[in-house]
Amino acid sequence: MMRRATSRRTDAAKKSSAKKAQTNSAKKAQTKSAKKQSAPIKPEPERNPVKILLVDDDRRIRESISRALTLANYHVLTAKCGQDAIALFEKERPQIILLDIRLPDIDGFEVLKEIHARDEFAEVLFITGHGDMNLVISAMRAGASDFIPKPLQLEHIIEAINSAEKRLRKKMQNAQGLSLRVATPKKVEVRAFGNLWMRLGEKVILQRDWLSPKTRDVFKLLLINHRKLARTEEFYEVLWADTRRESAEIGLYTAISYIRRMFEPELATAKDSRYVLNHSGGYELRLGNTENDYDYDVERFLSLCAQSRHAGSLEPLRTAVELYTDDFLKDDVTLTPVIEERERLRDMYLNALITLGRNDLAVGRLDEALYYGQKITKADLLYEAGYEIQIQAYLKQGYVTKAKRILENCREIYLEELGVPEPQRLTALLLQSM
Amino acid sequence: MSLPHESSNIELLKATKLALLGEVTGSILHELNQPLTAMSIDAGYLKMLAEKPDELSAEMLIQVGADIEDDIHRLQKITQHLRAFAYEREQTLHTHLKVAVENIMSLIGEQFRARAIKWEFEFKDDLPSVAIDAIELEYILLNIFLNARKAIDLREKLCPEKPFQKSLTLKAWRNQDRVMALVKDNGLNLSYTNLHHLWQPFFTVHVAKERQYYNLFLVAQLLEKVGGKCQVHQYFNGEGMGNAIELTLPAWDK
Repeated sequence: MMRRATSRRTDAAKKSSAKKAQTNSAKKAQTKSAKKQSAPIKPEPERNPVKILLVDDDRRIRESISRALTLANYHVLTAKCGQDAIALFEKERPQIILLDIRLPDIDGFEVLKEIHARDEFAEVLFITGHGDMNLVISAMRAGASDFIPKPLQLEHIIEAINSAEKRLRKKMQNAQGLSLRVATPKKVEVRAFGNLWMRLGEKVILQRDWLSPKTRDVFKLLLINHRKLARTEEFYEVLWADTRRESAEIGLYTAISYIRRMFEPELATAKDSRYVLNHSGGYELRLGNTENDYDYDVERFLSLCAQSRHAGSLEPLRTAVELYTDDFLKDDVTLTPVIEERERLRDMYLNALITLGRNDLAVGRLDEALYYGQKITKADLLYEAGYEIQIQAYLKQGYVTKAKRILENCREIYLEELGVPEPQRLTALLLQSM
Repeated sequence: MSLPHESSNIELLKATKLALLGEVTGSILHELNQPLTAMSIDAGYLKMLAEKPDELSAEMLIQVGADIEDDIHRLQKITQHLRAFAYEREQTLHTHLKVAVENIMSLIGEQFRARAIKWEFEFKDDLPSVAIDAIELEYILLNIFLNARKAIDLREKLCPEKPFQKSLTLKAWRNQDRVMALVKDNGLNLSYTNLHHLWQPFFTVHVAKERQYYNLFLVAQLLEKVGGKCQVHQYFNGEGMGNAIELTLPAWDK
């Protein structure tokens, strides 16, 4: 008897609460943003509610988190599995995604990949179980922005969402800066941070558009030496090491001819090519005559870094680090010159982030310092400076608990990956503050 | 008075059951953790509500209260069930296969969900109850389902470059005074290839540098007590993989 009475009450309450939640969220959007709250769990005040997609296969967890985040002024969408999450993302384009790493249909990594393919700015925060540290490491490497460990607590969730919002704002600002600079589309566009992507005029070059993987490799070597001589001997050494010279010559000639035709389908003779020039002892790739003809992300990154050095200003460096969306030609694990170039660019990127983070720390731009610290950790989980900057920024902001959490994360990752505890210097930073 | 070999068999059965339960601790913890997590989030929600008196309503509080009651009920259901596994109790004369499958999946479903193993259970409409103790039937299913999960894990470990849609199926139908159940998985074939050893207690397979309990000792012993039987089919799917175990259980027609 008692049970029936309870369940009737529950249904009624559910209906009324759902109705109230709908009206509440509209009301909140208009009036609540200006209200100063002193709650222990405090979301960032919002002009427009940020859209959050929560993906978890447990109905009750979805409902409780959704209810709490709605009260905290977020617009919450929920999905029970990976397929639903991708479909909902496609339709609603939420900015922040809370994603359970273990899902019933496809795994969280697949969902992450699909989401980033649709929106590289989306902030994906993984929800991970106890003892999932290996998965966390893989997730961060795969491009997750952050992770929220279980057992879940509302304040940790809101804290992680607040940080994600800050990162989003930063990315948007920087993207606006970038889009002003590349407002007019160029004839040739090449992206080599991440996987190779290229647009020639209207045509986007896809994997299948290359004659062969070898042709693509030849192009990569030309690209590394852009506007410089790429020596024929280097092509032979790197790409045709165990092949007879005659075959290698034919291979290189075929690849170069094909690349030229990709750029200039109407080309009459090789010597007329404006993009792949013949030189004694090699070839030179020119994506355009002047910088106005083309847009090549790596070259822009290098030029901004150089500009920052010469002008003694950090602003070009801030733009440069936003261009580095991933490691140089990241799917290539075989070509030595590509691997070397990747390491060189990665070092430059990490050094730029450290410079920016430390500078922002020194001048009290603590949110920015945190942003760069997180970027360092995302690029390399074992890079001490990333943790150091984050801990210092949190300590300067007076958030000792958050600083401790960074240290704990660092400890877990160091133990997992290297089998040693975190660097003592980081522990000392915290001890000094107490 | 029991004979020495009888009492050692009982001890073996007990030890096998304990080993099985040990293997499902992780997923049981997960099932316990879910309602606890929801309640923890609700606690945060209540604290937030207290700071926003304008938005607070009786319905909201009633809703949270009702949800927490449901969570507690969910927790109690699990703990009561575990109690039945752990303590001496009066045995039941019959039970329904579908209920046993649902009970077991509520305890170990996480092991399958976490590995993206799809499960599908099909029970014919006219399926009668089976004449066996409810918990003993659950032990039988636990043994068979965990074997399936291990076979799938090992296939994945041996051939990481060949991903496949992992699956577990159970089909049950009536055959005169018997209830038949065919359980299939598409993991590495461990059952037919180890046919002669499967009936030994604690038999382990050694694959990919890993040792795993993989046997049907408990299944065979518990079925024998009620006049049922267990048969291992020579079953391979198109990729040369899979296991198929058929159970014959006495129907309860009274």
